[in-house]
Amino acid sequence: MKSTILDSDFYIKLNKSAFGNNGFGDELYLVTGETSILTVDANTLELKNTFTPTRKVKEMATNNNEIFATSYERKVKLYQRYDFNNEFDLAPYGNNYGLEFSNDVTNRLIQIGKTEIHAYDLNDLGVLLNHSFQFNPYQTNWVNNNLIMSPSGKYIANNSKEVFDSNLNPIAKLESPYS
Amino acid sequence: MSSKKSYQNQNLASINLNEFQVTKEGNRYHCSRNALNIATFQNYTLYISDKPIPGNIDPKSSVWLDISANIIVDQNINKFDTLIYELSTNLYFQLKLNISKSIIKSNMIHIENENLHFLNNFPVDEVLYFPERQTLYFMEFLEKNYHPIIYQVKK
Repeated sequence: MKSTILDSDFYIKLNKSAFGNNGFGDELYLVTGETSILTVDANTLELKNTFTPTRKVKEMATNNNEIFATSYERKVKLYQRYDFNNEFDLAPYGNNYGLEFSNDVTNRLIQIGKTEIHAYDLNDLGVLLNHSFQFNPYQTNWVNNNLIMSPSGKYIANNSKEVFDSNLNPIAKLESPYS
Repeated sequence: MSSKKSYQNQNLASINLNEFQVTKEGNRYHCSRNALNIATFQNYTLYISDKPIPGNIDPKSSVWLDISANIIVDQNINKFDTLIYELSTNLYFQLKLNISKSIIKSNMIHIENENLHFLNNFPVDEVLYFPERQTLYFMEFLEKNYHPIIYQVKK
């Protein structure tokens, strides 16, 4: 096996990261200092773009379809790639934190908070078409900011070990064998 | 007395641990040896090391630098698994059988871990994985900032 190491020439205050291809090749998106989103070439680590939204950014997700979703506390905003002035505000629903796009439904944004799990269906411009939600029966943690989607899109889990299916139904709260 | 010693020597000569085998499955190592039926059996010890195991190691010692030792007191156990989170590209396995005052050594098994790569002394504080590219992105935390680094491994 051969290994190669490639160094970047920038430093950031990392809050969140995402990978994707939004029509401009493989890219790494980095939120720095809760203020800016850096777009980095995933092949070369070359800095391609720096965007500073009008609102702070705590969470970020992208759907490989040029839509970026960001959230800060209860507020979610949508941006279109390289047309970042085109913002769409989504109404705040409860106390929501973690953000991720669905892997099996196009343009569906999932958001999990302590009390609810939400699905936002968007069109290709990021306009909200449909919104649905379920109550989160586990209510483990106010800060569910690490949201993971299974590759098939069938399951969603957060850093509170709460697992839901793609219809937002609660499946399980996983328990550590060591606790 | 002399006849007893002769009996023990004859018995020891017939003990063969050279069928000791180790196979690897992920981080789990399956160890097996030929069955034993020895009246004077005390225990046997599985040594695992990142360096060739020295011949003069004390089989009763479970503490040895860079070597882990599992002492097995039941001679009917001839297959066992051990889970190792490797910190070395080379691992050596050897069984040492403790019978009365004698020690019988098995063959030494050397397994090379091709899946382990050492990062050349750069610190890693954050790891990102891009599944579509099968590439790891590392970041080192330097003076309150993160510095992105790509680390690619190709076959």
